[in-house]
Amino acid sequence: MSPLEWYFPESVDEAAALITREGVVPHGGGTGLLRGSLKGYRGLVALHRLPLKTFAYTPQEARLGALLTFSETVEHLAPHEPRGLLVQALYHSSTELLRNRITLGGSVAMAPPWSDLMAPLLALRARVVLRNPQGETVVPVAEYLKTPGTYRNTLITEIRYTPYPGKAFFYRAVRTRNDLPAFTLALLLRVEEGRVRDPRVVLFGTRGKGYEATGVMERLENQPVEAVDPEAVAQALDAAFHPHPRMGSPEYQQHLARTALARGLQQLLEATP
Amino acid sequence: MKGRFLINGETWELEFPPEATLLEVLRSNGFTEVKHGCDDGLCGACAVLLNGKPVPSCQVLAATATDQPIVTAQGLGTVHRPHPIQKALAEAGAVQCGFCTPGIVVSTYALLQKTPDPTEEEIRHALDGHICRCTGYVKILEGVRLAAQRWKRAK
Repeated sequence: MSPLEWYFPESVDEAAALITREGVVPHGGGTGLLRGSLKGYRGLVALHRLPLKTFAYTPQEARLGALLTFSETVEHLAPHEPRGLLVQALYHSSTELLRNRITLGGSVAMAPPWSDLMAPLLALRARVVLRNPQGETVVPVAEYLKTPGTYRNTLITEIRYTPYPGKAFFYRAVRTRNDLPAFTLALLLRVEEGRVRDPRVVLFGTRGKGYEATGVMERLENQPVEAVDPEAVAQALDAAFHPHPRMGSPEYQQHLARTALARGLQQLLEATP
Repeated sequence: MKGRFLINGETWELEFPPEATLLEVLRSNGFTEVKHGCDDGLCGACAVLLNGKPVPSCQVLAATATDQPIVTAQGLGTVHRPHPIQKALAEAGAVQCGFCTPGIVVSTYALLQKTPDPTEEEIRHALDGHICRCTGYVKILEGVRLAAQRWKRAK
């Protein structure tokens, strides 16, 4: 087999053209492409010299460059949304050493079930900016995950979302702090005139990877805060799980998810003036 | 393939296989203070500073680390000229077998550069990727706190 070839493009367009070649994939510096899995590739496109560590934030839109690491993302976002969903999720993700390597773009492209990034992005209804030789397209993260084959040979250059003007709660199903989570849960809600508005509940790591708890969201929408019983609402969560070697049976994980959701609701509703 | 590596302030022109990790390139060129631990980026023994940030060198493909400053524990201090962080760790009894120490030294250096007066939570967060099978971490945390006190005084 011919040795692995490295490409060092000088522009995003050049990189986007290179990854259309058979067996050639982008490498942003993260940990997704470990040596064991390099055997199947003919070439790697090094992205680290490209200007993809950009950051821009307004109340209307956050734009995060695909090469921002988890640590850099937290540093950039924390001044704008100190208790925001992404800050909560990525601050405790993995370890400091790996947070300094794992990139946003690589995480979305690989989307492993233990990802701390995906539930927040789905709850925030984030979009990915994709580049190929034909140009640029913007697609919802949910769509990108649903039909990965459609977006093969495209380069993720940016992630965008509309900042959520409410409160956030994030849960990782782990035994110890450094475990990879069996699943994650992201909860967003805001309260206007004493009623719950625009609640969003997303799990990642469930069967089918991402799960939007629409039943729970419908039960919460427009409810007066004092009428919400977190325990009862959480029972409406009916995600399906795979058995997990450390976190146990699907039934146990369902129980964990409902408990986490109830605690999250309690925390966010109690914190509401 | 060939590449130029900027290691501990010196320039090295090195040849390496395209799939080599930074850990492999460093160790095969004499930087044996960078320890080969888990190979999964989970133990912290192979930590070095790349562009000033601590990273697991076993998870960095060497081809992407050329022309960027790399600092190993030896670049900060040696047995004969130890860095204050190394001295503090030794004085606190934070070094037993010593295998994890070089990685902890570089992570502590990065922490104190950014946060000279870290809280307990900030220290634990910065060192959460380092596994030590000897000390039980109490002495390591004491060593980092001692290093931080001295760092602050020296500034």
